[in-house]
Amino acid sequence: MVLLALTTGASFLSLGPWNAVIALAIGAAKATLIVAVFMEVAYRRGMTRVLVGTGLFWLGVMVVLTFSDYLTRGWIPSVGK
Amino acid sequence: MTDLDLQPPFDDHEQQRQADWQGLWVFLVTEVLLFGALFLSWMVCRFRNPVAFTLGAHQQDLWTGTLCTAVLLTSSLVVAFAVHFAEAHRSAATVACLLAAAGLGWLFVGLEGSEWWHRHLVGLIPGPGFAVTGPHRSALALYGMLYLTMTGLHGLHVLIGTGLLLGCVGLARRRRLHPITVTLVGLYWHFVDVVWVFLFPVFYLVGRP
Repeated sequence: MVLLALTTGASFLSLGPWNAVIALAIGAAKATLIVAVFMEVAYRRGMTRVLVGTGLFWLGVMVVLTFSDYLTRGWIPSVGK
Repeated sequence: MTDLDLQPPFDDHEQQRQADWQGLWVFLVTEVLLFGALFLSWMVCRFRNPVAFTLGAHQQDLWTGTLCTAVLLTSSLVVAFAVHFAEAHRSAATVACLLAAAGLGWLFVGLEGSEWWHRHLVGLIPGPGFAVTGPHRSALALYGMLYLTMTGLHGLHVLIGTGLLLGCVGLARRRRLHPITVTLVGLYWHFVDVVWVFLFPVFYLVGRP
């Protein structure tokens, strides 16, 4: 499993990536593997999954709200700026 | 190696174990938000300075980064073995795995340190001695500071993790190590590994041609 994650990363390097999304997607896949198996999230029901989901949800809120600011700057002309 | 004694508020061992487990996960959620805020900073800065951050990624030594990833992933595997041996009450095997994982953690910190030193020698550390010129100077300084802050904070967590692992070894020597302790320290170590799994593509892979 660890080797799988390693070779995933290594094969990705030799291909010569040109898309940031691919890099982060592979990283996310590796992280999901580690969290699910080593941290046993896949094995435990109930509160643990709620906690993990909550953390990811809050992270998502932070990202979405921050980018909703940065991406929309300049959409509405404002006085003096 | 024995199981932890039942403490007052819990009705049985399983409930206590669940509470220990979930308590650490609450802590890890706060850590997710801590590192998440830094990753968000990287996202915003990259969004606003795409060219400079691509240049910054090219300046990284890819092989050191890959080696660091391999070291940490292996250490996570070793810690998983330590947890397995601890739950099987095999003290000697547990201690061996904990020592190996701590050693790998130190190796990782050494590799990071050599990477930082190399950047210092080349003049990529922002501040006096920053050797970058051209239109992207300030954005590359931003990239450099983000890199130092995020890998530095992560490296600090790795050092704390190795301290916890060695603490478990110390407890085992005095025959006071419980399987749940090894399990929870292992959980922390896996989290630190997950953070690096995201750090590595963010600074080393994104933006490569």
